[in-house]
Amino acid sequence: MEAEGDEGSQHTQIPSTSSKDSVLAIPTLPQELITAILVRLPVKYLLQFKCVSKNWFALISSPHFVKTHLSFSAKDRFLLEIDTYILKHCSVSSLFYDSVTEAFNLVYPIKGNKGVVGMVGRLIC
Amino acid sequence: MMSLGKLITLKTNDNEEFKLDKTVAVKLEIIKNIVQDVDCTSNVIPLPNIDGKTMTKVVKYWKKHSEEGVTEVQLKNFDQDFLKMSHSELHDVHLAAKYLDDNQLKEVIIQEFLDRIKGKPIEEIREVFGIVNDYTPEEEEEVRRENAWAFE
Repeated sequence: MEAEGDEGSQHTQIPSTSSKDSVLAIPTLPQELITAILVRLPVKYLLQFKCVSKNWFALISSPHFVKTHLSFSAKDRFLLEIDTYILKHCSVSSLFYDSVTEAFNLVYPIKGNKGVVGMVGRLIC
Repeated sequence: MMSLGKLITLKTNDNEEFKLDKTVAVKLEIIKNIVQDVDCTSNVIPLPNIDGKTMTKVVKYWKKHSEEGVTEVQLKNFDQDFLKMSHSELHDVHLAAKYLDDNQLKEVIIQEFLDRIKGKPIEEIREVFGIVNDYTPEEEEEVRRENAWAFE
């Protein structure tokens, strides 16, 4: 009987046809480790890394990833309530140290105020 | 009942043996469970998923981090030195730490990967992770355009 269907395993990358392969390159870094690394990165890097490959684009854009990322970075986040149900978030430190603060759309609503510990005017923290 | 000997021997898949003080070894969940479950009269615990080269690194880390009276600064310096390894070796140690359920070591490795990729150009990220760019130039340009500010 044939054991088929390596379900659940990460997409295997097609071996490079170029001769640029680095001897240090990791042939198949498990998706789990990639996710563990990426969720700890600031949003700016993640947006850049969407360009790495379609697989990374899909991973970084997935609701599950976004949720995990948010829970990792929750300590340094302000949520801005622009309008009812329209939320943006930005880094607290950027409010103090950056000349322009970047705010990002929040792709999912906060249900039952989970994770919201306070609100100042239109600032939720 | 297991023997009360103070040393536990961990045996890797290439038959390398590591003798560890039991107080060090049982800090790890997986070793603790094996020690509790198995009649370890010989005190030899097989590690079928780890090779000797990787285990040498892991044991070196454990020993330093369980040294009595070791200071934070010493540990920081040790870690810096310890992490000077290739990407693939780092990956191997992460796999071993995962198998051994050593969250501290896992986190150290992940942080090191983070330090290695932060601020690097996309091409280098692909090279480090062995990823083939499957975008067409037009598609990649579009993704870059959509996220243009992130590249500033």
